[in-house]
Amino acid sequence: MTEQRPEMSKEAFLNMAAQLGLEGDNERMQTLFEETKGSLARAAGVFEIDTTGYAPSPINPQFEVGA
Amino acid sequence: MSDLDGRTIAELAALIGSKQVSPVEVAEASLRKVEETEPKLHSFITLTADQAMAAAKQAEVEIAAGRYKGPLHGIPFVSKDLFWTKGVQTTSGSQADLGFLPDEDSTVVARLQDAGAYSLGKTNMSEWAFSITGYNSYFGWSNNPWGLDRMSAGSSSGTGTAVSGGVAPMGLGTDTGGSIRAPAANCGLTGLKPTYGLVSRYGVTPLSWSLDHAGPLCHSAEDVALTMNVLAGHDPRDPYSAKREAVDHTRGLNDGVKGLRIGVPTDYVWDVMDPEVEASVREAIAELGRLGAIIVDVSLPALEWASRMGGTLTSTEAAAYHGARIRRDGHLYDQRTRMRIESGMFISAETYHQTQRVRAMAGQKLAETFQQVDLLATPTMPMPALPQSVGVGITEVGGKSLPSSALMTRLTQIFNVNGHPALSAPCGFSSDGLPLALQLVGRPFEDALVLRAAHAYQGATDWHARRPVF
Repeated sequence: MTEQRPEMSKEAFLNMAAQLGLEGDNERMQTLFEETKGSLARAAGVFEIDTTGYAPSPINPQFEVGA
Repeated sequence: MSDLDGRTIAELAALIGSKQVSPVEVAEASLRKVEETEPKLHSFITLTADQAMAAAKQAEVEIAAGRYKGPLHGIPFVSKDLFWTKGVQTTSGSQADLGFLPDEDSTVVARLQDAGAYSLGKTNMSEWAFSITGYNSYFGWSNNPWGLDRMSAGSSSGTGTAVSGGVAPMGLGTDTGGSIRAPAANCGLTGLKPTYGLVSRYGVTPLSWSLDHAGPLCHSAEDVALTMNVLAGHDPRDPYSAKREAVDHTRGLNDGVKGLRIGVPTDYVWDVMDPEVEASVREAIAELGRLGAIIVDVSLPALEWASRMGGTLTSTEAAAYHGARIRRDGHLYDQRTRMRIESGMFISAETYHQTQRVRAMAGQKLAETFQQVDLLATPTMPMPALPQSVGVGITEVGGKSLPSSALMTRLTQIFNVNGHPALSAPCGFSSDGLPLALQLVGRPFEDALVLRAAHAYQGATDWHARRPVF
């Protein structure tokens, strides 16, 4: 399951930020780029866990909820 | 200093119910305490003294007329400033929401008021509840009564300092990764993150719909149980509210822990740990053993997965909630908070759903563990309250260096991800006088059992009964 994921380039980040409607001066966008790279790296940790046989569950399936 | 300062709900209720003390006397003592402590603690964003006095007078009239509603009648509380309060400013800790006046109360505030309790005001918090340190760049720190230069922890920071500082016996907080339990731990309080779906979040500004929980911070497990009897229950206006019959959280409170199986994780938990915390928590677990619990070692690797799930779930769900607003008013947000939310917009649907698969697997592993044990016991946090000067920086605990926020949510966040009830209770003090805390975790909807174990522990110890001098 483990695979190496390429790090987001600054160019790809800026393109995506523009599509998302995120703007700012160079300093702000550089800081957001660093924050985003960190978030993506931490988030990618879930791909190192073997989840074969499990479907996504937004809440604990033991729970009985609903209005 | 009044002899009503720092009293528990149970103590005040006994005095009010027997008419030895009137609700107005309690309100006056609380407001005097606010005046005395607020310059040091900075617990409040909005104080509602006039409304509090009016409500206390109404409670006094009702009780004098024989219409006593129960143990919360005439009891003051505080609420984190993201619980909507009709006609009272609700900022969610953000400059962007200055002047927001909700046109109705959140369900939990309404329930407390229906039970005869009244609000003293709205407490400081991390902006949008998105920081465990408790720091707020617009409203400042709420200072920990046990060490004014220490973090109270957040995000329910002002609720923690107000209750610990003795202005009210109970406060409302929310917990997305530890935000009730961390301030409870740092401020020497007993705080419960209830089972997901047990307490309504209607009228509570969301941070992360699938992780947010509302609950109380009090001085004792008994007070938490009394409060939960009012807070818990189905609310059709919260789509994730559980449809369950009301439970009396005080029933069985005195039944002790004899024969209960309490699991103590052998891995991960102790890998990054302050020695004083470890010693006090292991002693607390030993005390539960002396009270008759069966202590069992358990292996629970799912604990480690929380750090890989929590950030993704919180930032993507926060991005969904704040997206339109942040594009328009982002300049009014704390810039660090803003970027943490914006970074969630870049996380792919593939990553989000893989995170939800890990979440399902972690839930399954926890359920298997809870087939062997009735409760889990861990420290709430790996170290005592950090200095405010650490901020969100890296700090060393037990020979390991980690960011403060990762340390503070290390042992709490998994129980948000999987929704189990989790309580923090004081279990000692560090050599420099800071509270240390035990976390007890139960099966979903067995909040009463968690409270029963905490109450048994508090019957044998007095850590929860100590009050700060500041």
